[in-house]
Amino acid sequence: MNRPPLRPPPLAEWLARRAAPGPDWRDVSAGDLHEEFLAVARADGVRRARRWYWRQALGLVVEMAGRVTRAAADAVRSALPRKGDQMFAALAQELRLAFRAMRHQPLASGVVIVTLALGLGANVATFGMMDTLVLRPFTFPEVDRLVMPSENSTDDPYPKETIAPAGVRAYEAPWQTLEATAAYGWWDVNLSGGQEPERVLGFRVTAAFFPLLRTVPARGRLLDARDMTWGAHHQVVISDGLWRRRFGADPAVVGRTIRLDGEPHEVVGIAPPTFVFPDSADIWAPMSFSASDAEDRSSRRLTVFGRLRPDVSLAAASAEMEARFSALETAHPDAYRDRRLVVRSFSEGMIDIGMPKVLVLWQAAAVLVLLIGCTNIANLLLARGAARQRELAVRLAIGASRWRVVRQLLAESVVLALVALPAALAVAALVFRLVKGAMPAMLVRFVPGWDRMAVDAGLAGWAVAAALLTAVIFSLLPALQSSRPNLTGTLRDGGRGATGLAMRSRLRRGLVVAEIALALPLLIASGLAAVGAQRFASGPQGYDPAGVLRARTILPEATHPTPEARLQFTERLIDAARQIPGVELAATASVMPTVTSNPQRRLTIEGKPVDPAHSISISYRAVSPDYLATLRIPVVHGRSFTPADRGAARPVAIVSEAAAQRFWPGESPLGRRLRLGSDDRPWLTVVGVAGDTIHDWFDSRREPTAYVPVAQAPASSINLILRTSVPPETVADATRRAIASVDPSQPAFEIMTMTEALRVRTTGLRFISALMAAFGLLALVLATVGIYSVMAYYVAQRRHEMGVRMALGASARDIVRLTVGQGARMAALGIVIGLGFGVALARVMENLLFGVVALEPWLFATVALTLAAAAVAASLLPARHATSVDPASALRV
Amino acid sequence: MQSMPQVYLGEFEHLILLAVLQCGDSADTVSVRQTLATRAGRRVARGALFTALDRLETKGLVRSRLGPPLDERGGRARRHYAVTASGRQAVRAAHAAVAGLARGLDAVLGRP
Repeated sequence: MNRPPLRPPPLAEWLARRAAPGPDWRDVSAGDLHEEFLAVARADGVRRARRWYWRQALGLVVEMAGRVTRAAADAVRSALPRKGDQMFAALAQELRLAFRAMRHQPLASGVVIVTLALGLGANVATFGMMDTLVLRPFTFPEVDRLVMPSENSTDDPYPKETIAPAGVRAYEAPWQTLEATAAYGWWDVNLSGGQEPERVLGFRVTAAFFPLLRTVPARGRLLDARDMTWGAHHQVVISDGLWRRRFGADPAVVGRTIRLDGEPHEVVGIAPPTFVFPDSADIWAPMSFSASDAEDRSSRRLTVFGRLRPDVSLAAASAEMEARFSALETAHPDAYRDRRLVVRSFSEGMIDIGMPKVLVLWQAAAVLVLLIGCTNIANLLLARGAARQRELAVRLAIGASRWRVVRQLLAESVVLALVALPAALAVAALVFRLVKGAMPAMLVRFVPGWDRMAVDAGLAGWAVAAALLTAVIFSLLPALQSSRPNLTGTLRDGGRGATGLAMRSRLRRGLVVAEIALALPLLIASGLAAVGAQRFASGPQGYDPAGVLRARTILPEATHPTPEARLQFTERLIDAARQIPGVELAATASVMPTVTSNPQRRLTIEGKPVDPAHSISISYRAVSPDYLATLRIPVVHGRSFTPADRGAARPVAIVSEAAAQRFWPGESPLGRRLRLGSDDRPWLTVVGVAGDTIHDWFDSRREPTAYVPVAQAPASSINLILRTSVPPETVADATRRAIASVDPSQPAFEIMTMTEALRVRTTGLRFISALMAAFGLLALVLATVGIYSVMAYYVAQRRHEMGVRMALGASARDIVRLTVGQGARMAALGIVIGLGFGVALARVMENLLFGVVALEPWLFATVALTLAAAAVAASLLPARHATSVDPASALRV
Repeated sequence: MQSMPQVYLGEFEHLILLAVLQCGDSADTVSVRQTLATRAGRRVARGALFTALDRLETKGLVRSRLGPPLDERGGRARRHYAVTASGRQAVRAAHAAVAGLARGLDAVLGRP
């Protein structure tokens, strides 16, 4: 068998490349490491070789940090004038002193720099995401002049796909304030012919689509008005990606005919490489309406956007659109019942509606982490200020102004922050890399800007500003405190003694309390996100996802025009799938859990009055007889479908428990009749009640659902579901072949295990929870370090007192109790304050993330106890130290 | 009569030049680093070696060329080094200086 070539750990390799002394050295350095890695692997085994590689990579990073720091120091030093303007000279001296101070205290400076690198890095990364994904997700020319009207229903704020074909035509009429409007709608298609068939992401677009986005073709032409004639609309533009992937970048593809959904289409042009709007589209086709479609006001599946004329404000355009919308409302009251017009900016309308909120949450978490880091640093500086009390007092005594001393301490902090900056940028770059790698391609297409996240000049500039601000925040308090003129006391007793001590230690204890109060809500938030994600992916689903493989294929109208043809395909596919070794049960469904779409049908119940204003809808699935058995969805009452439920036999349906309880409360639905869809559809007799399933954790749990036999309602959307006796992923290839054996032009897509599908569906939430967990962990570590350092300082300061206490008969237990009690009191106060913040933050998260329950008392308790335990643990070590004080030596000093 | 060398060799650069000479035709970053470790007992940080080689190349004491891409390097090329004429001259001059200063010190240094 052919073993895949041994490769170094990718993340370490990436780090090593980045840390090479220059771009020229990246390949050589990585090549050296690769070569030596293979040698180490041969000699000592792969595990050791990986560890070896990581050590080498980290060594290179440490080297790089040294180089960067030296270069920065040199640059600052040479940039500072030694003579000339007095203020600059003063500043130069300040910074020179600051550099010297930093180098004289390598350990303290190192701690500060690492803390800052992590805290600042987290902030730079979240700000970068916010900037790319929310503020500037698109890069079209003058994107800020694009606007997006949507006809939202009162209960659905989602801005896309709200306009029906007739509406598109109404908006296409000329405007005073807009250059034009364009529309687009989903058109994913099967691309066949030549190689293996493929499901490609496509959109139908109107003639103004490309001009409004200011796009020019890379080859050929884009779509225009002449392509929009109904019946002659078989021209397509393909993306640069599809051109390269599928057609080997052959320029002659322009003018060639390709088969889409079984029908010939002419490729008229290729879009420029960066153009993939909307949603990573690979094909654009003309949007053309038949005479009857053009009057359709009910299928709201299209998205409209427009471009403002020069010098026209959004408000003016909104007013004109509002007027047109009112006219539509008056003319077609039924179609516009409960609808209102919302005009948004293009970027606001196009991005995922939850994205800004999530990013605000991350940014808030990152700021909290940075603040906790700042508290730690402030504490450290306070301690250092205490140690330097005498030096500063001497300076003040011989005539330095207080401002002069504060300025020097501020300069020291600024230097620390600036030195931490490159490391912070590296942390941000690492976060971007991890974040990009963790997102499945299936989802990346829905997040515009995702691929562009990077550390660039703009972000670096922002980081400098953030670093300076941070330096001021963490150093101002200690600087003011240390420069408080209290000369006589300090100079007289040599810096030791009670003067100013009470005040200083109150400040330090206050900082620790603040730190715990900040860390607690962060930990609660990360706990909530983690619990939510866990529940989604591993909680009860109403079916058994283990041991199941699923695959999708969609039958185009052109190749499978009749219900008979669709049913024949479906049944032959199930037969073919049953032949695969290891497959126990095979079934199909038009829609199944974890698939993003969730089609609804209007529900009419026999014998119940119909309110025309408020129709009831129910989720609809056409399934094969073994569907419930394959997914192990229990049949609660009645029976499942059988092969006899077909064609001329009595039309039947199965309803979910939630539907039974809601529509037939207190009675059995068995034998009752219902109708799905329009009034000309047949009455279906309910023969069974199935257990509830969770279709989608985000918006459809325990939804009323109706199942019908696919043999009585053949569907074009086919989800093949296989329960296997072998690991399900091992039959994936055979499944692909089974689909091809029934119809070689049918592409299979999204072939994956149910467990994997669930994982992908919850990626967003897991993502949020992973980042929040990282923030939470950082906060916990920083808070623990903070408590430890304050307690250690407290013990050191009170050595004398401890000695006296021990000399007077205090036992080691008493000393430990005294010290730990001090730590516990600070923790308790911080926890009480933090719980208040925590409840507030949990409420915010409840609104933000579906499935998060704000008040999970056990979680609050766990987090509070964890922090308390960390506080006690952090004060135990200094307490043990305190008991080791030798009374005699402590008293002698 | 030879002219005085224009360049002064640092100790590290001196060692690297000797290592490159030792490796002969096969001198590349990996073998030079290994030679420094085995023959001189010097474990050199990778980045430091790279920057020193860059410096030597700027001074015209070594020249480099890239080899073909190799599978065992993950499809990346080796960078090969050779000492130039002025590089050899600099090494000779450094040795002459050391020899001149060390003359007559055999007893002190305990050399045979």
